[in-house]
Amino acid sequence: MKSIVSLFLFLFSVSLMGQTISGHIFDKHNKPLPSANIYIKGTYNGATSDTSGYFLLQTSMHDSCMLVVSFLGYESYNLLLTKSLVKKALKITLTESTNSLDEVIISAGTFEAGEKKRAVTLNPIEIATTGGSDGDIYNVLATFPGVQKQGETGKIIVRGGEADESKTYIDGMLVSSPYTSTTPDLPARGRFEPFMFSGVMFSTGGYSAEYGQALSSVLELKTPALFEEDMLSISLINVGPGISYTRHNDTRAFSGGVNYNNLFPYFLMSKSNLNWIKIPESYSGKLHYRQKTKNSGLIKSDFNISHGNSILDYSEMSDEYQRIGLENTNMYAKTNYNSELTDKWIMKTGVAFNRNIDKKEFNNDKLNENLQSAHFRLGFTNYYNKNITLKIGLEDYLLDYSFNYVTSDLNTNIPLNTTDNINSCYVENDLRITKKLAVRLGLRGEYSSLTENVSLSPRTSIAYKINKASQLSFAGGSFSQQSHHAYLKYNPSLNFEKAQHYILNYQAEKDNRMFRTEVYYKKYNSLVTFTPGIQKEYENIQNTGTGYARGFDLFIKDSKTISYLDFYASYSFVDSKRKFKDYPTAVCPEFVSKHNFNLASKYWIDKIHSQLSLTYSYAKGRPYNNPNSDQFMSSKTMDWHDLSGNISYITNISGNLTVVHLSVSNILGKENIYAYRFSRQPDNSGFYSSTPIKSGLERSVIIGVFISID
Amino acid sequence: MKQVLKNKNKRLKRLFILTAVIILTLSLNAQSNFEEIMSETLEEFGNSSTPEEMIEVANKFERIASVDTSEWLPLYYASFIHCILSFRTQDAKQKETYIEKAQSVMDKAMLITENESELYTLQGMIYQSLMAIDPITNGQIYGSKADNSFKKATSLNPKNPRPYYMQAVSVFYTPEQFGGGKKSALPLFEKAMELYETFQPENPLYPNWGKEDCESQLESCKSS
Repeated sequence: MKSIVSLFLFLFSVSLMGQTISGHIFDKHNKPLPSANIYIKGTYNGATSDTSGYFLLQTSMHDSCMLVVSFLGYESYNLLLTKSLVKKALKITLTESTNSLDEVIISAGTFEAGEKKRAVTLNPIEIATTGGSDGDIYNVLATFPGVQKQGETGKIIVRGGEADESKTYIDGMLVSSPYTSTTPDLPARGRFEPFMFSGVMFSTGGYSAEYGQALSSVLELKTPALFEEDMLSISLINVGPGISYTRHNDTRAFSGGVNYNNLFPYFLMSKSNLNWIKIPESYSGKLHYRQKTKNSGLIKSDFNISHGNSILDYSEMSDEYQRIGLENTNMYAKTNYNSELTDKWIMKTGVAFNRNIDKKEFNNDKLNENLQSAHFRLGFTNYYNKNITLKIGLEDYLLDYSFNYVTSDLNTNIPLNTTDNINSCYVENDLRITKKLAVRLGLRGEYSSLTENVSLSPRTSIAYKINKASQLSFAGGSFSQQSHHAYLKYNPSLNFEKAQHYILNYQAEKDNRMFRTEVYYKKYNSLVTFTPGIQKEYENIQNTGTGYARGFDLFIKDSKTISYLDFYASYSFVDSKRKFKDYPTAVCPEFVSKHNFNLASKYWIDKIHSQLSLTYSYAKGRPYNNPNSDQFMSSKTMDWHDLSGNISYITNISGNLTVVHLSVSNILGKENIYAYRFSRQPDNSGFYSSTPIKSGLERSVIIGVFISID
Repeated sequence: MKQVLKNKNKRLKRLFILTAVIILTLSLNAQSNFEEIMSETLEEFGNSSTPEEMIEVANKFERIASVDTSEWLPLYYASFIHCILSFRTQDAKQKETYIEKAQSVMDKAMLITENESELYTLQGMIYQSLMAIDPITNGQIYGSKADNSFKKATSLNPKNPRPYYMQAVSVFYTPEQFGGGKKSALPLFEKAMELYETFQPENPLYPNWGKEDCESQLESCKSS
């Protein structure tokens, strides 16, 4: 009994032992931190620091206790307090936690944008409302630094790399035919509408070892996890109507839609130098399915299909006409399954199939091209701790290309077939050495079953945070890509084409203003070379080509200075020379424009609930080869200018959000010339006559009404 | 010897019972301690007005949460206070900091229970606040996220007036061109008010706010 009494006495005396603990809370730079929470672990007892970082707390403590200081964005701080320590005022310094938003991020070569607030956002609405975008993602990317648009094909050129050196991925799965198939002089469009995606990662070089088979650039389109809203969307556009429907609950979501397109109103509203027998017409359908599974797993399935055709009387030279027919069928299906294996390991898997069938007719000759691909990915990410992340993965990419040319007299029949299987594996390690310094080391290996070639591509990135607002980064490494199937079909023993990137990046970002500049050097080797054939298109196909591209880009974005005005400007300089294809000497290739400038602005007019967007683009004239001159590729086209804009009026029709949209490209009506086409044979006086290559569509006008019904 | 042992056994038994009683009272004490400190802190919350005072209260709620780790209420109030602060401030940067804090505390609360209507209501409010930072860019994403949270809140407790009230407020401040305005908000305010009339919190510590404001906003909707 005595012992129990003494126990009570002891407890009593402890609770009487009132103590005062006081001190100051600072950050690393000795700046006081107000509003920090200071408390004795396991008790309600605590205090909040004031504006000078000072706190005072009364406690009835035991001999020793644990003092905890917690503050958002900082590591929580624990201090074992003993009686002797309590008497003096404490000085506590908190260190910033590395998972706060201000941390250093690997950024050389990359524009990343999604739901998170970053200065450069590129969500569906931003894409759709950028002047001149016409709802095409690639049109918006073309206004970014380091990017230029090849007007006649509609494809993007990144830092002096051919259009085919830029690859498009959806959730990590390769899209082998990202652009629509078109007849000559009609620019292609991206196949996927921006509203399918929730974010975009665009890299103009130095990208992660996760991405292969791309020499110049990678575009990663990210689809949303679950759809957030049930709705019926109806679009009534002058070039065709569309309807889509979305349903969701907590674990499952479904969305589907159909579209019809007919370019007739385009050609009605603006002049065109194309003689249509059948104006391009297409149907497309899409299905999207999402399902959450156990262990925070998620299944994402997306399916797109389209079919279109057109017939055109095309004059390559002014006097000769050729009837060209095109019938295209395209299908893209992919499924991702991601799951947390443990709290440190995440598994990401995916399967994608892509099929593109082009049936072309030239007068009565028939050409069937069938490109099929399958892509499998199995990747694991290990979050070892918050400073070390490891990624490993395996990929298998199968490509089957068949080409069949049959002349009308059936005398010539050239069937060619290429089947390739590229196995890849990669490993990549992200290390955050300090809060200011991060390093990424990656290695990618690839093997082609067709050419039996192996490539090993080491890659690295380093990022250093100079201060809260600015960062310096470097990225470099090797990149390889299988020679194009157009050449492989004649010579299946070609090598991988190779490139080396070196990029130095500086960017500063503060209060919705951003400045970014990059200097780069890109070296090419093993490019495909050939001599123009007589029997076949190409002869003597080899990998002996070389080249380089070097230059710099500037980018500024500001959405702060003038309220309701959001604008960005980009300037790119590129100096490039190549000796590849059938070039006799190393020259600047015909697809490269030395100077590119873009100014894109958006202005919200509150009074009329409308957003006005205007984009001005300039490209320096490109080189072309004039056979009348003795010097190869020494002529230049005129400079290219474009002013495009759109206006979106937001209203409601019986309670349903409605957007009325008008979009006009080439407002100034400038006749831009992309290049010249020369006659194959000289005339009697030895002169090659020429015709300019212009866009088959001088100005596009889109008028549409979009209604979302909840 | 036997007697001694018996006595010792008796004493041990008594000691055991006593200890059990002490432990029981201590834990009962702890239980009532939680209620006591919660009502004390809720009162302080009612008396706070400046951001500094409110943060002090929020910190206290967080301290309670650090002791009573299975209780979601203190986390709810800590998050709620930061959410209110985010609505009040005009400074975008400050707004973001408050929202970030509100969300991080909310995430902890959701780990304790995933079936609480009030938590989903508050989550919806956090999304509404995020929406306000940059309506043109964030509007669509967070607008529908907020709606989904309110729907979930209603499905968990159809009698909870707050999800309706918060939706009503959001519609009230949305321009008519976007399907908002007084007219569209009126039925939501009415529905919320109807529920407020009969709403009984599970106990005095549970959220029970919004009735007066709802009433006055309903009147202003009706009067025009």
